[in-house]
Amino acid sequence: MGLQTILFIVFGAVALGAAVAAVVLRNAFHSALALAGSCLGVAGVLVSLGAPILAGVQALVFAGGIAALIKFGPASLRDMTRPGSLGHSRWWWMGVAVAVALCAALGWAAFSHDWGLEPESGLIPSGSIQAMGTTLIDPAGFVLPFASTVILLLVAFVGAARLVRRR
Amino acid sequence: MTVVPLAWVLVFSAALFCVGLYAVLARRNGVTILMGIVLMLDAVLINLAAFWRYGELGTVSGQVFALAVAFVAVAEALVGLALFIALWRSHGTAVLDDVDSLGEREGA
Repeated sequence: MGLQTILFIVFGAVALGAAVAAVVLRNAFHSALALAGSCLGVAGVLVSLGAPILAGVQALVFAGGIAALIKFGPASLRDMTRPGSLGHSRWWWMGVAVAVALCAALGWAAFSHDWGLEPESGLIPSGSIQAMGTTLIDPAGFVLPFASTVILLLVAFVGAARLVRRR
Repeated sequence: MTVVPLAWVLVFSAALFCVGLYAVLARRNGVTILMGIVLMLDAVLINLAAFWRYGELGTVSGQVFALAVAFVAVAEALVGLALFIALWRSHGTAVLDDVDSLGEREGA
């Protein structure tokens, strides 16, 4: 087994285990902590896939930003840590059934299809980091989508601030 | 050096997606449902990165798309959390089963 396989299995197991914990735990604060762990595991998987920029974004934005937002925002509200208001719906087994069925169907599709894609070996494809950096600010590249996402974030920030303002 | 088969990565992201799906379907608390959506977006991001890695290594499009997914996830989490805080202020709860009116709760 190569280093990439080991990285993938270890971080994949961490990400999946923490994700299940985030979904099952009753206390929303504990759930948010597990969610941060899961996002860090996903960042490790992205490293094993040879996408270190995405891994950095994942660690900062998901594990750092979103999980912290949930922890210090609504998860600290009184209602969120009170048992009883928090459990699973009465029909939780239906959720399990749907999730397992969809996972089985997707797994069957992934394994039965011949993708015919052979990856270049090596951990990080050479030159991809530099190419990404230049393409994001290249007028002929992706500068417009990149700037649009910045505007989207600005609108989301202003909208969120407007929503939580006390009247 | 051997590499992980693409199907493994796809199955991993499918499993992550389904864990998130369970949270969306079965949890009663709005904030936990939001966490499920974040997990689902995570799975999408892994899929984009995997197909970039295994198919389109010469270009950066796949990574840029994944970056866009990350930004959208932040926007979604921000607005969603703001909505639940506003909901908590007006209804005193974030359990979605208890929220059955669009206006202010009477007497609250």
